[in-house]
Amino acid sequence: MNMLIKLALKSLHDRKGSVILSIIAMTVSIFVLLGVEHIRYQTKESFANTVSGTDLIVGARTGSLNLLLYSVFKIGSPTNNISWRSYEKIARNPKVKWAVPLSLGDSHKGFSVLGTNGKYFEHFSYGNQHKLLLEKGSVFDNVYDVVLGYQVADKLNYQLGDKVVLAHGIAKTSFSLHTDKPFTIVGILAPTGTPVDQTLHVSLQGIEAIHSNGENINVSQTKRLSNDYHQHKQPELAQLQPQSITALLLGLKSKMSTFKIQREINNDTQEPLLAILPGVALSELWQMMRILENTLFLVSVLVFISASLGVSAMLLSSIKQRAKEILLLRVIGAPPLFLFFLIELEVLFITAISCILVVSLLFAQSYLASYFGLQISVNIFSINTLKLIVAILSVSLIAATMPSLIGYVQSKKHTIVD
Amino acid sequence: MAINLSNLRFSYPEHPHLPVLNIPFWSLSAGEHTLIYGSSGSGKSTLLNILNGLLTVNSGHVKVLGQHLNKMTCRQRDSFRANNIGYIFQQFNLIPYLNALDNIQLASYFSKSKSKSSLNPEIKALLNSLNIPEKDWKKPVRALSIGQQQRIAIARALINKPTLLIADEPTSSLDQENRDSFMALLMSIVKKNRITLLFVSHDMSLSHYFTRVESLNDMNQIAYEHAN
Repeated sequence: MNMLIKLALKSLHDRKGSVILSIIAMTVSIFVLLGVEHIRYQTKESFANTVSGTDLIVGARTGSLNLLLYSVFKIGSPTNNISWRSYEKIARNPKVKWAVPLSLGDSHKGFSVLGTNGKYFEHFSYGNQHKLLLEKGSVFDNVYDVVLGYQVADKLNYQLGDKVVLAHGIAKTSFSLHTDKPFTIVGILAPTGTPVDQTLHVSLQGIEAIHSNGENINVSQTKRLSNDYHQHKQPELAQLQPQSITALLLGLKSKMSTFKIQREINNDTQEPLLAILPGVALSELWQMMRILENTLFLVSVLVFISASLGVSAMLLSSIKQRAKEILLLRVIGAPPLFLFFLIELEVLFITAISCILVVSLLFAQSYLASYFGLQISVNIFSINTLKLIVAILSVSLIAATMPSLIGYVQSKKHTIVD
Repeated sequence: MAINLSNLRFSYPEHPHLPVLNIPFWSLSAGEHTLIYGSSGSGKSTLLNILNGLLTVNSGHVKVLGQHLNKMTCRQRDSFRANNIGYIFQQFNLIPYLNALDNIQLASYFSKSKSKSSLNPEIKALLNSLNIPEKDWKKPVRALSIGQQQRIAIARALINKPTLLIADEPTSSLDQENRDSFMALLMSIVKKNRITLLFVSHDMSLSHYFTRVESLNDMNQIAYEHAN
């Protein structure tokens, strides 16, 4: 082992008390810094992962962010619905590969209910083009069937075959429960780490059925859904033909036509519609969050700098106590530069130990989080984190130049008490 | 000649008008064992730090082991000191949190003359010859007695096979019994290895160990200047 490293480690070990306190201070500050970066990365990642493979999102005319938030993230509420006719018109466009209708506005114990059709499970994808997978059961088949997101089932402890009652509105306690129309759980989705986990999926007809007055519509609980939504030959299902939906997701045959279709939809003369590209809307969201992000980052940088200065102050006062040790090293032939590097190395060790502690803490936290299904685990050793750790080590070394230089100068001019 | 001083003048940079040393001429021939005595504050440690190259003189010549110290760079003096001069203090001769082996290794680390392979047996032989029991080799030296620490200090000072050994009041913190055994050990090693010894103390009772005894006040003209 190199003598310099050995000496630095043993001298740190010798000053355990103040060194441990310094490591704790350093660990906390690096935890804040890496934690903020980690959360920032995770949030971005999980937002960006929420929807993929969808070329356009169409809704009533509103802000593009608003449309993105309520259709995909179930945040906020839709300003208006779009008519079923518009949906059919867009879906029939030859450039459109698939169109998935979304109908929102109901809830179950605080989890939102999404009315859609079977194509949703076929085409909706998240993350790196992952399709939705069923953990148990199957996709809804009947009007009163419901497919649960992973966390809905997990938190409310639901099993296949359980009955659930949907409520109007999205509050946890609603005055208008649709108690006469319980739904049967037929499927539970695998975890995705997206808002899908917190959603109950029913058919559009199911949504219609609970909103009808119930007098003239009497759909048996086991009424099978027709595969053909456009031509209802069965009168019962025709009654449940939705008049409007909240939004729709579009997949196009060719990415090249995205802007053309977007323009066509935005210029529709029948109904005021808005089509957005999810990626563009997401980047608008980042722009809004950037100020907050930067503020958080700045605060954590300042916390870290103050901790580095604290460590430097500790080393500076230790130099005063170690005057005799420094003299001894000089007498046995240590050049002043050796003393400079000795002190820098001590700081490097304190910072490196703190970094290792923080990374293990974050790793444990990610592991626990994914274990409890709170979020999908994200690789914490991202390039950004590594860059940040290198920056942390460099800043601490720069902050340590002060005590190191003083150690250097003191050892160089050195005066002995006679 | 081991040491040759001429027209040496020194004052600390903090107090340029308060000269500490003024030695017109003084020399020490190789192999001599010299005691320099003087009361505390008479400039003993200052003189020793000039001889080992930690301090540089304002004017005059300092020649140690044939080398002009004031013509060397700082770095050259550092390695000259590591290679040629053994040094023993009154106290704090060893890094307290390192064990005996590490302390001696540290001293040899700064001298580039050693081949590292032969180092460990050499250290062990040295510690054995200085009567340090093997069970104490790996204890932090602060856990050892002062007498033992001073003996390890001899080993540390000798590991680089210096030709000049400077001892700055090494016996002052020892009791009578330890002092006698320390002196006997030191003198036998110095004689065996033909090392020039420069020993500084205020304790005249040690003078019978030495071939030459000098008073710093006689060497240093500052004392006369002050008297006049």
